[in-house]
Amino acid sequence: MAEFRMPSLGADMDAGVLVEWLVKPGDKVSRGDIVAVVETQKGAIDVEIFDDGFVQEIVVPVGVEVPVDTILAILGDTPPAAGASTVPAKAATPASSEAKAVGSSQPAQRDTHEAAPAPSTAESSQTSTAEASAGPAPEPPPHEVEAPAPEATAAAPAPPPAAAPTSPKEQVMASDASAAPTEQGAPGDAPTAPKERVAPPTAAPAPLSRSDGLPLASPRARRLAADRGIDLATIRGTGPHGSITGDDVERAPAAATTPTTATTPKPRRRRMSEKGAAAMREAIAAAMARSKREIPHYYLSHTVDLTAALDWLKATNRARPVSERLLPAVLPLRAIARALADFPELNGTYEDGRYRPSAPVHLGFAIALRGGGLIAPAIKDAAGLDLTALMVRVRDLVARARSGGLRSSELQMPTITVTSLGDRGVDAVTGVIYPPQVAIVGVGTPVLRPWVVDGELTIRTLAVLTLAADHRVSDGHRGALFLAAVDRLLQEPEAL
Amino acid sequence: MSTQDATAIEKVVIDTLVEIAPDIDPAELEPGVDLRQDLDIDSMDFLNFIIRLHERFAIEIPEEDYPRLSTVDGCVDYIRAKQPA
Repeated sequence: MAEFRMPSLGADMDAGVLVEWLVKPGDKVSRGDIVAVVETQKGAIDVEIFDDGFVQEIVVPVGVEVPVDTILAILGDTPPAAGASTVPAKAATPASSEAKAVGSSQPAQRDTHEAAPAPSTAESSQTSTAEASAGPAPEPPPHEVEAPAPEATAAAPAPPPAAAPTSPKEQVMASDASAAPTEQGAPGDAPTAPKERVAPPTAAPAPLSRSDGLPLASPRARRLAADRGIDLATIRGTGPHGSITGDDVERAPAAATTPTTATTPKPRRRRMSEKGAAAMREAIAAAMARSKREIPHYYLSHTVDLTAALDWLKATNRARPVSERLLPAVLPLRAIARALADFPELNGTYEDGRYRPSAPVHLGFAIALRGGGLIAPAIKDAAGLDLTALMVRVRDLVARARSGGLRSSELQMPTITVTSLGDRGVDAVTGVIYPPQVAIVGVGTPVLRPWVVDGELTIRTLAVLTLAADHRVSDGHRGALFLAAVDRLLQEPEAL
Repeated sequence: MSTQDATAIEKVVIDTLVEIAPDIDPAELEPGVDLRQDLDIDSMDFLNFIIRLHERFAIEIPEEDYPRLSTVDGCVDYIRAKQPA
């Protein structure tokens, strides 16, 4: 038996709302499968499972906010006995007494926790009163409040195959060069309505609105809607908080398609709602305040001559198809990932007074979100990727960070972060370490500057490399050696 | 795709742009606006944009041509010129 729990997707996360189950009791799951979607301060995240087995019970129904570490589902080695119910009473005790009582353990969370997995109407509306917004007149509460699990599981689609991409967009990114042209109507342009159209179909759970103000819909629903050219706004969600499930889209195609095809589909607007922006700001504030409170940072900076690297890049790009073309940012990423092999004191996590170095380099890549906020998902095992593979991963990560579909493991995983200021930024960044990591490397915007080479004044392209590291774990001397090692690697780009 | 007129090309260009930057409102999009400077399209977004144009129009877009694709109008002109007559 294994327990599938609400993951912590960062030092700043206390709780999450279960938005959709992608599996039901009896389904076989494998490590790495995406089994659920959870709404967090960082938006809707696809949650993967870390065990193999069969789903025995779904413990927490959709629509419920539960603290980190709460048991969401139970797995077994064999399919569950026929008639095994979901939501048994014994499983209703999430192991969450330690669940991050950091300031924000609102009563709502506690209620949910105690009442889980079958919250009463009153409790679940309490859970999200703060989020409640005026919507169309609610319908009477459905019976599923009494027995939420069967409903939840009945709506659950078959589990995706392990390698199934999470979105059409990702599919395009992942298959890269060989990717068939995406259809015009495909990924990101599912037309959607303004947020006030998010209609809560039930009185019980208050409507959640996404951080970006789109109608609440599962990734599968968005995918299906996009594939079929259906306007999500025309579909009435039967999921929790009025969210649109994949099944809703499947059920309602004909009726919903007509109006959209007749008119020009409204473009999808994705600017973050004020509330979503505030939630993300709060998450960033919590993590950064903790960092500055707990981590004794030291800072180093080093100017690197990127002329050779960028000349090489230009030449190599000329011979590459557009889908394999490299951006300057990927060269320092590769150099950093490689150099870390010799600096275990910079790559790992510091928790409970103890440092744990990480053998693989899971490189967090800081991505500014359009409309504000920041997220730093991991490039998994970055040291094992060559420049081309690294570039594909970075492009994919940026696209998904900006339009949805990040996975839980990508947010849990980083062992160090790189923040790259891009081609229109400024000279240098003095980073704040993302706990529990112990280092952050900054790459400034490359600029043309006078520079002395072999006693001659020349014009070179320079960038300022910075390191902020945890003095509990390493010293400035080692940090300096690390930056020097990155510099050295960048001088021989063809060997990167 | 060879016979697409400017309007059809423009629509695909704008749709592609909105995929990359979903907060852009096509209705407010001036044809001559600079994508990178005015719409805050960074180098990663721009590369993703170029890759999709490459896929959708089946044209090669060398790096040195990027400046010609800095506006929606520029993209349309470029794509029309690149497509077989």
